[in-house]
Amino acid sequence: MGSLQKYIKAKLSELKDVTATDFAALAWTDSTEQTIRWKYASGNRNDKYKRIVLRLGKGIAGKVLCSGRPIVLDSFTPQSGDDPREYPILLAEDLKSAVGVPVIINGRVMGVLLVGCRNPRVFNTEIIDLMISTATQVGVIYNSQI
Amino acid sequence: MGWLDDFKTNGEASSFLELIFNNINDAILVIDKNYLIIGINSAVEKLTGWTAEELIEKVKIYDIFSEMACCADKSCIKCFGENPGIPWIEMRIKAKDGRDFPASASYIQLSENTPSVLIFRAISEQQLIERERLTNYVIQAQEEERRRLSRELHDVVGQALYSILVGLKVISQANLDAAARNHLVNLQQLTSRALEEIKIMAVELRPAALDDLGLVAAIRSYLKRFEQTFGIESILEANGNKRRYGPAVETALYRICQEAMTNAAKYADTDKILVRLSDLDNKIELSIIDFGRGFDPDQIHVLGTGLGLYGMRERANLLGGDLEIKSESGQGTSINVTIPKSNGGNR
Repeated sequence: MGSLQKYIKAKLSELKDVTATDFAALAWTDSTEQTIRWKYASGNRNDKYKRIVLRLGKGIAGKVLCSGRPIVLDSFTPQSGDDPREYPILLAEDLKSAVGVPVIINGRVMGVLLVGCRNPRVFNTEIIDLMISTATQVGVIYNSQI
Repeated sequence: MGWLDDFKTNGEASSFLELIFNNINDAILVIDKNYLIIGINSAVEKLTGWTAEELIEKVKIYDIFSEMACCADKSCIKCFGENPGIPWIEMRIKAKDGRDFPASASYIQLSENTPSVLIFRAISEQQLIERERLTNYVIQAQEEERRRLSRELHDVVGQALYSILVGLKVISQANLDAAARNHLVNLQQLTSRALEEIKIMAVELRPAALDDLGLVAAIRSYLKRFEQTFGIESILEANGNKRRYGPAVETALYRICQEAMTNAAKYADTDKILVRLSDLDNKIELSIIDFGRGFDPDQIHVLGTGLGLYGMRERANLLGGDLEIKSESGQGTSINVTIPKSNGGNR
């Protein structure tokens, strides 16, 4: 899967540049484990993303998984009473804003494509559309290679 | 103050205020900007046994504090200075005869240049005992409810979802067209994810392991889930006999571990957490150590509400134990709990 890996990493890096964000990542369903994990990342501060297992409804990725729709977060300010389980990737990568879109294959949400910034930021519809089309591209390639 | 206008002269008004100062049952201390006591009322003498001569211009206010409930540092005056919004802080005051007694204190500093005023009221030991009983009751009730919810989620809802999965598997053996089969696979995935979620919810409420297998097993699986949630590498070091303790002790230590690690996930920015559980002859020690940003203990600023820390300490105190926090800016933080074992050795 070397070339798939290279392709995805390149795609994420390109996405990061074009959207002027600090972090981009792709989460995918692990067919054996039946879990969804962050498989690839660009601009990561550490390796925490590798150990995270996504949960339905938890955090931006979990909500994308659940709803099957894009989720935009303009500014994230943790409150003292908050449960940190509600935003694991934001904590791991010190993100203050993010956009997550589902990667859908055959009507099923197979993964999540995410970009994030380390400061608050407004994401316009162009960026969301770009994310969605990138997600589709990535989905097709990923699916064909497996 | 309109009621002061009832007094015919300013002299009468101020002597009424002086009368209040001198006769009120609450202790009032006037403090200068170096925390030196410069004035007291008679209630201070009555409650502490110290006389005005012994205190005024001689003693700093924090020298008569024994410990304070809100801080990592047990006798830090800065808690007052930096949290003027807190109306009452609980503490223990040292009396002249060597004993210390619990009190509820409030502090006011009107400006940089005027003296500050500290007022406190003694809390009877009876009230403290009552409060301890209430705290205990609440903790027990909470655990009972969690245990019940956890079991119902697992045994009722989880069971139903599992049955659905089995049924779907039967259907998948039938001859289906592509669209139907696709639909079926979607359903199986959805149901499977829901079942996973229910299991996680049940375990997060109260792990069965805590009742069935004991503290070490429960912490071990908590660390694994924690790692999968936050991506923080979590390691358990269990020393000693690893035997079981009474349910109150195991529950308290488990909840303290949870709270400490949740705090680290939120604030520490650490890649790794180490949990050390030591079974010693006369006590049990639990340490939760992170390698994150740490904080300077002299710069006390309560992260969040401070109630998480208070709750952890209460749980330890209820079992006759103690909790301390060690940290250094840039060097991570460790939370250390010690619970004494009763004479029988089997707490």
